[in-house]
Amino acid sequence: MTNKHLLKINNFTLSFKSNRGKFIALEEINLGLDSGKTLALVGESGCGKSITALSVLGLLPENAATVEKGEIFFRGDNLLNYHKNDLRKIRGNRIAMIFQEPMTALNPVYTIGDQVAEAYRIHKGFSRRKSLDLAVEMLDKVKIPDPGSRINEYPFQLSGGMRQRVLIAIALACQPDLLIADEPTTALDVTIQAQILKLIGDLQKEMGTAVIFITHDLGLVAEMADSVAIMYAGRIIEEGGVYDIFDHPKHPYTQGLLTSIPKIDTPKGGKLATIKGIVPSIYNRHAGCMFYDRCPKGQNACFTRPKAPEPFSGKHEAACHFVDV
Amino acid sequence: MIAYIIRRLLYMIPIILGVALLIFCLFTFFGDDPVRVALGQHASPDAIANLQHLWGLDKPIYLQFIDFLKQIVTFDYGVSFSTGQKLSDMFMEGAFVSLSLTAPPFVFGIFISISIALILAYYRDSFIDHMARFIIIMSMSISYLVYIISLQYVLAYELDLFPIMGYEPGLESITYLFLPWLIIVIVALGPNTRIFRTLFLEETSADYVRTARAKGAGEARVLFKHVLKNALIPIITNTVVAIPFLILGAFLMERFFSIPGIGAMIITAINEGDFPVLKGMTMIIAIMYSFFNLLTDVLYSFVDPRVKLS
Repeated sequence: MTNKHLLKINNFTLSFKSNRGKFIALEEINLGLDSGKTLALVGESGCGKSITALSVLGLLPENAATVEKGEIFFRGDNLLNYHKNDLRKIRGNRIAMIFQEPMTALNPVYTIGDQVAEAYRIHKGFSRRKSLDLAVEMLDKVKIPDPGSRINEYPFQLSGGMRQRVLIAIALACQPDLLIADEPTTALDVTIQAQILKLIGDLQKEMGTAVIFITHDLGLVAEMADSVAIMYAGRIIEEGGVYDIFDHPKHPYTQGLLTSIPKIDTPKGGKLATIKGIVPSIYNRHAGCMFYDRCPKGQNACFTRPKAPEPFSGKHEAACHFVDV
Repeated sequence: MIAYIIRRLLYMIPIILGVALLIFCLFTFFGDDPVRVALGQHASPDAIANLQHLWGLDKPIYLQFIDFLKQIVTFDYGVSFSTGQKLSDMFMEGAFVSLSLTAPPFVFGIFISISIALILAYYRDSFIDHMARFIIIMSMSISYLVYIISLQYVLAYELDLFPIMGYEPGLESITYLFLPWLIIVIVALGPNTRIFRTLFLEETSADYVRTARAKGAGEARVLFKHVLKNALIPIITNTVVAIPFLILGAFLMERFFSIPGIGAMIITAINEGDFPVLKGMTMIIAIMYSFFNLLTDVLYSFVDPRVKLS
């Protein structure tokens, strides 16, 4: 059963130590992703999207994070059982990641050619010469003009969009099975965003890479994703195909998110719909639904009784007692 | 680059003029009258006038200042009041001795500190790291003097491994310098390692380090390739500014080991009220300080591609 998916996260619960004690960062996360598909992880800041991604890569801060339970299967093997060194061989090779800060994510004192070539040197053991040749090819693939001479440039000589292309080149250098893109376009202006998204989409098709998109931009989700998981306060509260989520949102939080998207026909001066309240503090966890106090449908049952995700049609499921069926 | 260096050298002229004026004023308007210091309380007015004339102290103030500027430009600071030796010769001799005392342990010490700091950064928060930090703090809490006296006593006096003190020019000097070298390395090891470790650890939380890890780089590659070169920038800042003090010599070391470096000369000059020596040395150190600032900026351009000297 676990072999069916490229990535399968089962009941994954993660806690962090802080000076105020231990708190749960992720609770009972279940996710599945098939080869070549795109999954969007959507949620507000601090809901656990990036932590989920870093868990898959094994890049969590070792002394602060503890896996409470669960499994992360990648190509049928549980990554949580991997030794550090074996995990390192997967990282950047079979699973790669791009981050949201292209301005600072490249090492300022090495040329971009060096930094792309490093992926080949680490994982393929190629010579410097050969790695650099491959780096030129890869930079050409991410549409950096004149890559042959650009490899000798330093990050500060490139624009934000170009740097993000370099980071994509680094991530896709070894043709990974899974690419995690953590808000890859947040720091870029809108025209560049579209170019970067198209680039990721094109390379995904070309290489057959599965992509996890971490974002809070619902427009981007509609465009890129095959399936969507909505996260709230460390839990996945609704998951389903992109059409299920956009056309038939079940959880009140998802519905709230979708109605807060500004519409082109919203009258000028009209008020934008919002979800009232703020995300609860990580220190105020309780067993019930974490959205309870902001939810228009919230009742006592929500607070006392957790709701396991409940499937509707196919793979669409939501964790709410009062979904509109 | 060369144009940049020339321009920076030109910028140094007003700075050095300012420093010269300040030093001149301090020595002219404050402190003892050098003639009185030289001749004592009961000198005859004739003798005082004579000496004032000989040292050019009877000229108008602005001419005295111009004389001082001439000295700076020609590197001819006149002669010592007390020994009659030419100051420029004294300086060259003393600087060589001071440098041979301080430069080797300085370079060697920084090399060791960087290595230890990298190892500690690699094993951060482990038992080794905690132990090392404990030892560093302990070693920093002990006075310089304790190291000098106890090592001098144990290694030189009790075990007779080195001469207790003294100095001879030429290759012989190494036998005399070895113990002071050892002490300088030991004393500088704690604070340097601590600073470098912190610098390395600060870098390890940078975004580019996360990218390197996501790329599959191991901890050693992250530290030795990515972090080290970035951390070199603050390390240069921290170390190059210390170089003028190397030439100045370690005052205490020269005193305790009777090494005739610049530090010892300055102490003697202070004791004897030897104004030309003090004035000249202060000026030379100020000039060197500006030079090493320039050197720092030039070194940056080799480490950091973002620094373009133009």
